[in-house]
Amino acid sequence: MSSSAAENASKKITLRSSDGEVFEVEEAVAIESQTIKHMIEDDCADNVIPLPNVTGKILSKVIEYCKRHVDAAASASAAKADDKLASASVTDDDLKAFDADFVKVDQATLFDLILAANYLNIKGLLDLTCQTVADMIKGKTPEEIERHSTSRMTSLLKRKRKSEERTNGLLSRTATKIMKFSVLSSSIGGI
Amino acid sequence: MGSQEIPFSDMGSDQESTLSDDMVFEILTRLKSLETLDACKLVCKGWEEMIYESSFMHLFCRRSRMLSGFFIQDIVDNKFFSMFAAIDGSTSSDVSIARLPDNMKILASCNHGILCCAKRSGKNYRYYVCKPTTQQLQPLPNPKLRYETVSVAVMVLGSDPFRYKIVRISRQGVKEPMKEYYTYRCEIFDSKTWRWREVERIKVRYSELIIDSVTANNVVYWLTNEGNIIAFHEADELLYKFSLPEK
Repeated sequence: MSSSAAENASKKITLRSSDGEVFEVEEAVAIESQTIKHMIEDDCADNVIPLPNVTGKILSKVIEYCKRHVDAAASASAAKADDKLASASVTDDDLKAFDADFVKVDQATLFDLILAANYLNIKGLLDLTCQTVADMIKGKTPEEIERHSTSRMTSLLKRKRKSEERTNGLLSRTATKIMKFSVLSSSIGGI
Repeated sequence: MGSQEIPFSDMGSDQESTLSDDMVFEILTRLKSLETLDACKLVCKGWEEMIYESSFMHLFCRRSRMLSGFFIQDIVDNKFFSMFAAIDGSTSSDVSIARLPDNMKILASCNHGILCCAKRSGKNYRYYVCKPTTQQLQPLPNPKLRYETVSVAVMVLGSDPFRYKIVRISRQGVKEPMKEYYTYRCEIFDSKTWRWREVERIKVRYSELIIDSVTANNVVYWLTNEGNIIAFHEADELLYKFSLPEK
């Protein structure tokens, strides 16, 4: 399956969203999604790849993300080849800024992006969106978290209690003492 | 941040697909602090169960680069002996827990990397603060009160500058036929002032014993065998006593 970047760049893939919107993208961008990549490799894709789990609105954002990251990777490797380390790091900062802006969306869109990144198996996007939600939860009280994340994240309410993942009640009194202890690896300073 | 919050009633996207358990797992394992994780345990039962799964803590510790586990202390050949067991069953490559000096008794531990311990020196105990990951051992001035130690707790108040407080409960006096109570004395060591200072005292009936303790959010809770809680609030340095709710 070896094809040069130039060949891949010219090959187009057509994606169709759940609401019928059609997007034409370069193969290099499309295969940022492992799901789509496998579909192409397994020859399941004819002319159009249907994505019934993703709306047009979300798919266009996902494509924007993939395109931007593919472009950044391409210019980074080009800069490396020319030994231009300085310009490679500028691309890195630009990309970070893009990512930060990319997730400045309303919560519904953010959750939809998480679902899409998971379905399409795009690791970078999944990392970015999940980390964003985790950072939003940080420092909040339980009430604030519940109010903020709403029913979409607390569907686990209905789960039946699994038996004895942890012990209940006091441990029996013996000479042995067990004490909880944690430390952040980054905190190597002195006491 | 205000534009990001949607009130529950307005959550009207036509695709009301819920985040799967896997996705919630992916999100919560990316939290970086134990305090936030504790808050998440209280959001709903489903989250609480998920967080207590061993697979969760493994991934959480790896992602937050945190070493978490338990010190297990026992007495072997009349000497105190302790071991550390990491929660993910292995030692992180970043840091390792050094063995404590011989016969060092761990009095209290916490989730911010330090232990309060003591070593016998003649008739008395010498107090130390220990950071196992860097093998640092800092001797402390001894507590003012020489009564029998009932319980010790340590809490870290800040990391930059590093500041901690140690709370020590000791029991005054011997049981006398006419009296019904022991007086429990409470002292605080503040790393900022480098001194011990007595705060309140509390009367506890003879029959009532402290059987367990836990520290959370800068409050130390002691559980007694009669179903009462004695709580020490770092903020106002006061002791509170109340009973557990009826089951």
